[in-house]
Amino acid sequence: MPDDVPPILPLLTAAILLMPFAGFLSLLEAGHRSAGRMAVLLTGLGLVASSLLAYSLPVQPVALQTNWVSFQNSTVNVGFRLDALTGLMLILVHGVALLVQLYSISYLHDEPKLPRYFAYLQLFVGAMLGIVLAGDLIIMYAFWELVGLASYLLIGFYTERPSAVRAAKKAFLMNRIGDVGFLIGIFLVNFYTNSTELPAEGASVLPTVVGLCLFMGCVGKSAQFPLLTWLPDAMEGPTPVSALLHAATMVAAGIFLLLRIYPILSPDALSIIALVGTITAVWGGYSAVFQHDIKKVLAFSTVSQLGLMVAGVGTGNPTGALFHLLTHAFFKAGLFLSVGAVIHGVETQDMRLMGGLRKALPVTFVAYTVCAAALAGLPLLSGFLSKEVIIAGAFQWADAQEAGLPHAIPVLLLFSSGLTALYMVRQWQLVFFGPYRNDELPLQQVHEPDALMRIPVGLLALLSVGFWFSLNPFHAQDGWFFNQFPPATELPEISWLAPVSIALVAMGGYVGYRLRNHDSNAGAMTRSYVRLSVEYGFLDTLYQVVVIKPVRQLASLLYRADQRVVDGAVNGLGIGSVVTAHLTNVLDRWGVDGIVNGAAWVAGRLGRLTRSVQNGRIQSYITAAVVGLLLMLWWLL
Amino acid sequence: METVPSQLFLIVGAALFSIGLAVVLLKRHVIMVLMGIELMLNAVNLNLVAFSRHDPDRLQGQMLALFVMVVAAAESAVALAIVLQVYRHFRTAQLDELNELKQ
Repeated sequence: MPDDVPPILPLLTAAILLMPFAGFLSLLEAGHRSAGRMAVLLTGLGLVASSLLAYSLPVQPVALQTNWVSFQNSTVNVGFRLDALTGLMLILVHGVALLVQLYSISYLHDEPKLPRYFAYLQLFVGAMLGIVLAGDLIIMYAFWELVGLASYLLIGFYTERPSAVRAAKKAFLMNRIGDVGFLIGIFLVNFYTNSTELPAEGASVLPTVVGLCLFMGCVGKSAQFPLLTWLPDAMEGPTPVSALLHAATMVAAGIFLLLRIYPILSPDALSIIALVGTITAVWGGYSAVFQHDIKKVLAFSTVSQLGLMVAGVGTGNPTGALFHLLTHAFFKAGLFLSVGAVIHGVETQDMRLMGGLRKALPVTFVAYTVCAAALAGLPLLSGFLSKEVIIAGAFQWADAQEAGLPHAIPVLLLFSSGLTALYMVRQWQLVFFGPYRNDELPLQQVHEPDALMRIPVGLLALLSVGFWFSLNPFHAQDGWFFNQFPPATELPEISWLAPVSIALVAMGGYVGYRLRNHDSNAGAMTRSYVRLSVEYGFLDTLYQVVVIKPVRQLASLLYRADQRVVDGAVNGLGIGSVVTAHLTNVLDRWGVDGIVNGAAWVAGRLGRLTRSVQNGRIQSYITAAVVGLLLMLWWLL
Repeated sequence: METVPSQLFLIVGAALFSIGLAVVLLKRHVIMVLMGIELMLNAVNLNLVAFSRHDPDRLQGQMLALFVMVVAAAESAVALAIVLQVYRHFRTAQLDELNELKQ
């Protein structure tokens, strides 16, 4: 440890890391009423500690390190790295978690498993903080797995719903696929650099395969193509969990990993990452267009935005990706929480049963509108700034490559941001405009949630305004964020980009508005382009056919083989031994027992014979004496 | 006076002994068994007296017969006393029911 580290930093790190886990353990036993307050208090304390930590950070990254295990010629270190990125993420995670927990107190107030819910949330937050603080890939992997576990517990929180359990299993398994790649990547890093420490700024580039293996972890956690199908299913969890999962804790982990390993990624690996991100952005965006489930639209929009961030990293613009991660965290959490308020009010997730809710839920309507506009990339809002940074970076990257094909990436990214506007406008007007379509619940009964739910939503909507990030509404480069995190290369000013993207957003919005008629038309659902969207490119169907079915067939084959061969052998052995046992039984009974019983019988007869002589009758004794005497006489004479 | 041949005495003695033995072995009542014993003793006495004719000077056989009678009387007295005690104890004098010797 260098000497110039302020002594308060290790203390704060330990406090930030230990508090959520202590909270997890104690909340498991907490009471129904106190659980939420305790969780909020803990996270609030964590937020204070994080702010203190971020405030007292020196300019240079700080590494806190100690030996964990020493082998003969290699050691595994427990290391934590504290730098500006850590500080930002700590505050972000704590801030979003705090708002989500406040919201949950009201949203889940009559849930009997409430203490356990808050305990899982604390575990989730703690695991994410571990990833953020980790200074070593092994440590990061440990917390990475903990995030997977916590997400499994939270997605499957409604254990009484089979679909939730299935979704939790799916999320966990999909993540496992990515995690295996991540683990192999860690081993490869260890092989090439002889240490698993996180690469420092300016570390040498490692072979492409290492970067791709590490990227696998991101593909799993951040739901990139082709492992994106778990994220929409993860909507089975409680809505505040979705907000947390999509904004700060889980999917952000993959992006964060990419930011951490960025120095060692080779140009080829970066190109593939950019390609995967772009595919994901378009795929997710298109899948969101025709969904009916209000939460699934948001889930696919997250997929799309994550693709945008990954593409940002891939096009050599990690700062832009981080910026988008930050802005996205606020407006996506805000969107999920306001959608939670809508679901709370109308008790359904099907958008075909909503409509005209702007009068019943005015506060939610305003918050939702601000967040959705930010997501769609309307000027003055944060989404516009961050999206533009990423797309500008992508154009710069494409210009640096050979002409032609690489330009498809920024163009597709631009297209996906147009798609964002399309599905957000569609959702916006399906939920809040038009006639109310649910006959089971009259509109008069739809009510705004209480203040505990409204305040977090309002705060998040407020934070989605671009003003917080940059005073210039069309450009973020002069804002505090880019002062704090200066990009590697100065991004070019592309003068036509802002008007073009605004035009695209407007066009997408118009198409989205016109799409309304689509949903009332029953025949539309069977059209192939609609089904392609609703089934998200038939990716799940493909997995069903390519992976799940063969595995199941193999399993049933093995099962039958097991039943016939192994069970047969075992049963045959059993029957054989039973037969042998019967044989030995007979032999025993007639042979061994026969000898023993025969000996006993002979002894018994002999005994009875001899006993009959001594019968206690004097006359028989006399007879014996006389006979004996006569015999003696006969023998003597 | 014509002398009775010795064989007759022996035959009568043997018959008397056999009858006594049969009574001892077959009768059930203790008293009858004692009687059988007396018969056997008397058969022996008859033999002793019969053979004492070959010893006219000292008459040893007759003397022994007298001894036997004395001892038999004593034996009867003791035996009857035992029988009396046995009867008192077991409330029976039937030999079939007395198998205490088995113990």
